[in-house]
Amino acid sequence: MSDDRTLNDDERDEIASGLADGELADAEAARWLADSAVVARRAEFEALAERIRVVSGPSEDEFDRMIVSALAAFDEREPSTSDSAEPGAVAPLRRPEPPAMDLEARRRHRRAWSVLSAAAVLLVVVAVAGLLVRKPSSDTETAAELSDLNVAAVTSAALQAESAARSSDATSQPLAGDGADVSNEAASAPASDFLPGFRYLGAGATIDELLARAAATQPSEQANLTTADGGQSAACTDRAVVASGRLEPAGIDVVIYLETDPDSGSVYVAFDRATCRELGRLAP
Amino acid sequence: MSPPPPPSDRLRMDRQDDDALAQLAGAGSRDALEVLLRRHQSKIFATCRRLCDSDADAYDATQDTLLNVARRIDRFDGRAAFSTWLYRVATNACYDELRRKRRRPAPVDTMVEPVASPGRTARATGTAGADHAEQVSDRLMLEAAIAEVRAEYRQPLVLRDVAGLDYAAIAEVLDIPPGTVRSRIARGRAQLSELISMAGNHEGASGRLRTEARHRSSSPTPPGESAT
Repeated sequence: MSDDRTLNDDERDEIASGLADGELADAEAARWLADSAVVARRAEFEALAERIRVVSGPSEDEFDRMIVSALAAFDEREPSTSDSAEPGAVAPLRRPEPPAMDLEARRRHRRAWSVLSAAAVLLVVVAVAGLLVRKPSSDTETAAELSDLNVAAVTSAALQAESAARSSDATSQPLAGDGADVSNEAASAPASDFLPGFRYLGAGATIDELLARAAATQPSEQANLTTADGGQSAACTDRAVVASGRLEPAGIDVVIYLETDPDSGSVYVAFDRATCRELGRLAP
Repeated sequence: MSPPPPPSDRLRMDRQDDDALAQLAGAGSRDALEVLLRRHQSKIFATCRRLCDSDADAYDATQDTLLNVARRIDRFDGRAAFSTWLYRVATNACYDELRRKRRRPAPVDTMVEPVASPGRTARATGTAGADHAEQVSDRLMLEAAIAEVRAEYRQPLVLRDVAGLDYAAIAEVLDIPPGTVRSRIARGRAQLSELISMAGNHEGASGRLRTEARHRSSSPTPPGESAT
């Protein structure tokens, strides 16, 4: 910007604006402070900024409620955190190391998963054995069932038990006695679709498993739930629902939504349908 | 829930800067997070209020911002200033709120209509009422004018004048060059000044305000470039 020509409106506004914000270099600012048109425009912009800044906010109580909600979310995210961090000992910022507690929890989780898988495999084997005993003549169908229920490929115990039950139903053979009891036991794995019209993912042993299944769902199947559904709280509803599922053996109905994450774009978020509590999230 | 910290600890935390508190919160300090959120919440609300169309939207966007910060504070890595990260989260929450709002049926526009008849209200309620009506009218007119400023100008303008960020921080929040921040803020101010001036100079100005602003917004030439 030179002194030897007349400023156009844009140039004058940009200088006056920068001057009002203290964003001009000292020398440049000093030069333009001698220009009455620039100074007048700066005063106008400063007055405008004052007016924009004044906003009547919510009451103290409402602000408190927001803080309480945010802290509750923080507690749910980190249930085992403490306030032992020493305020005086602040190192340069860096991403904190994951606490050792997480590793132990992860090990426990893996152990629980192994035990659960083994138990479910056993259940499936007993169910299939029951079918074999009851239907010795239908070798072809039994072979198909065994193929479907490939024990070595079990990744979701409860889901397999459910599919075993469905396979036995498909044969339309009436079952009786002990075998029937076993089959019914397998069929009792919950498969209730509480959100008709949305993809039901079946039962999963972990929330991560359900989220991974949801991530495979086509975007065209998303839709908004705009009204409360059954016991679902309103906070859960105004989101793009992708699917529903069930967490076993905890027996929790799960609703999975697609959320926009400020850091990483779209994120699948799983909620407890009854309490609207967030159970986990997955960024595909 | 941990018990409230002793006053001396709280005082120490109150004296910490944002980045230090963010690190403490990221390491699990609930109290540090609370100090941080309380320190910024009114400014976040004000920013959201100027970026959203209504108090209710601003309230929701503010709540979303606080929740997102609480859930993700351990992901804040300190490469940018905490305030930059915070206002990026807030700006995104406002975008989300506006997107959600677009999906809902549009409410009746109650913002502009009262501005057209402040005189009638004043006559009906006496001098004190007239003052109040004047203030309300002025506020509504300002809100209508801000709402009409082009979004690309309004965002940096609000981040500067309401959030108090400098140009470099605004450039980071909006992911645009600092030079663009400078020109957009200037154009936003010029446009806002003109809109307010129009509204103040004409009877029933708010209606014209909207019409004129729409005309300008749809024009290929930004308002500042038409030197008349």
